[in-house]
Amino acid sequence: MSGMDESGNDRIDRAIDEAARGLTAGEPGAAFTMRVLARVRRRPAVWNWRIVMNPLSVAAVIAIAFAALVMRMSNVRPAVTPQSAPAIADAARDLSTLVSRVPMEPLKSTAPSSSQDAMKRSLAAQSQSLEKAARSQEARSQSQRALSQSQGAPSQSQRALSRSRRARSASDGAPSFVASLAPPPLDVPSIVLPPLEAGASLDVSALAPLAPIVVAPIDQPEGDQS
Amino acid sequence: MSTSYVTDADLVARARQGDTAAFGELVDRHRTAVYRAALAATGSHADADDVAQDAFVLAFRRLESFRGEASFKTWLLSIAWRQALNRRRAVRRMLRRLVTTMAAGADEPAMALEAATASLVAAAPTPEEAVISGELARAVRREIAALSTRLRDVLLLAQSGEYSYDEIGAMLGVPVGTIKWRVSEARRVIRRRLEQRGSKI
Repeated sequence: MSGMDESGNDRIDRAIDEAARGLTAGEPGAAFTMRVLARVRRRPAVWNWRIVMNPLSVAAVIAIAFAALVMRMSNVRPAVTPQSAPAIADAARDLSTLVSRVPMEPLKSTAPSSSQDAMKRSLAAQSQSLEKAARSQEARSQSQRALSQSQGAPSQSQRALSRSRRARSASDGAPSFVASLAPPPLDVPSIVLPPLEAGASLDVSALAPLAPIVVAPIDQPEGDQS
Repeated sequence: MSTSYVTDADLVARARQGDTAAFGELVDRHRTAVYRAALAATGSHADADDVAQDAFVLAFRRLESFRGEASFKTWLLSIAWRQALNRRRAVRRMLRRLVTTMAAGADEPAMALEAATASLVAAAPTPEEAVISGELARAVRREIAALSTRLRDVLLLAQSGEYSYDEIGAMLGVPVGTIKWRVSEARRVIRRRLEQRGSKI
């Protein structure tokens, strides 16, 4: 019985071997190597990558250009510096210097002195308001300077520079660039208008009274009213 | 120039420099092994031919990545096996769609798919058809087709006579011991099923 089983198993194993070999038996066609070499010698489709890469590279260039533009715009934006307050103060002092010089160079004109006084008062008021704005700006910038003390040298050198400018302009009293921009004194005759002569009065005749308007009742309409 | 005594490594070196004739010699040397591996995976001569071609073309384009750690044949068979598995998956997807369409309303579409796959493998025309005949041969082929792909692949590759266990292990990426176990397990499963079906031996 076992001998029968063994021979049966052998037959099955042989059948399996032969079936498996049969399922993988075969040779490629005669022109197989030629077909492979023809495909190998064909130029690889590199242009496909170029087509794929082209939009990507264009998009990358656009993105880089946009980023550079944004960075440049953020750099050129004007920033408030601690130097602004002293500059305003200098301008206010220049203006007050100009105002103080006004009485020493009276206008050679026949304009009434009240208009000169009004102009002087206006300029003085403007200089005061400018000085006030400068003081408030100075106070603000002082707090900013306290914050930026860690930056040290640059802000200190700027402060020293503006301080020396202020001291120079206060000591020598020389006209600054704002004073040099002042217009030359006027030397023109005033325009005198002669008084208007009184003309003859207009004689307007009285209007005739209008006749009263009489309203007559409307006649009854014709036709069937029922 | 004769290339009979030129090793695969030399031919690879020449092919890397653009010598397509040297690569042609490599194709001639290994085309049967590549073709039979593809046939074992796909079960179709037409698919095996396509897969073998694709494998050689891909190998030529990837020659620079061949470092010579394994033999050129092993490296080539690994490429061919991956190509064959891709083809088999594609065919199965196509069959699944086809069977789902045909078996709409059937109770067991999975069985229809299994039958379609088995008939695809069993229908492969081979020269052994003339030698192995009769009920046993047909029953064995049916059972081989019904095996899981893990067992069937290893059994077919091992019995094809083209590859060593080491080469099969490298192709499939599994240890040699696993390859040997799968071969014996495939035989055991086929025998048991034949006994269960009561085939007359």
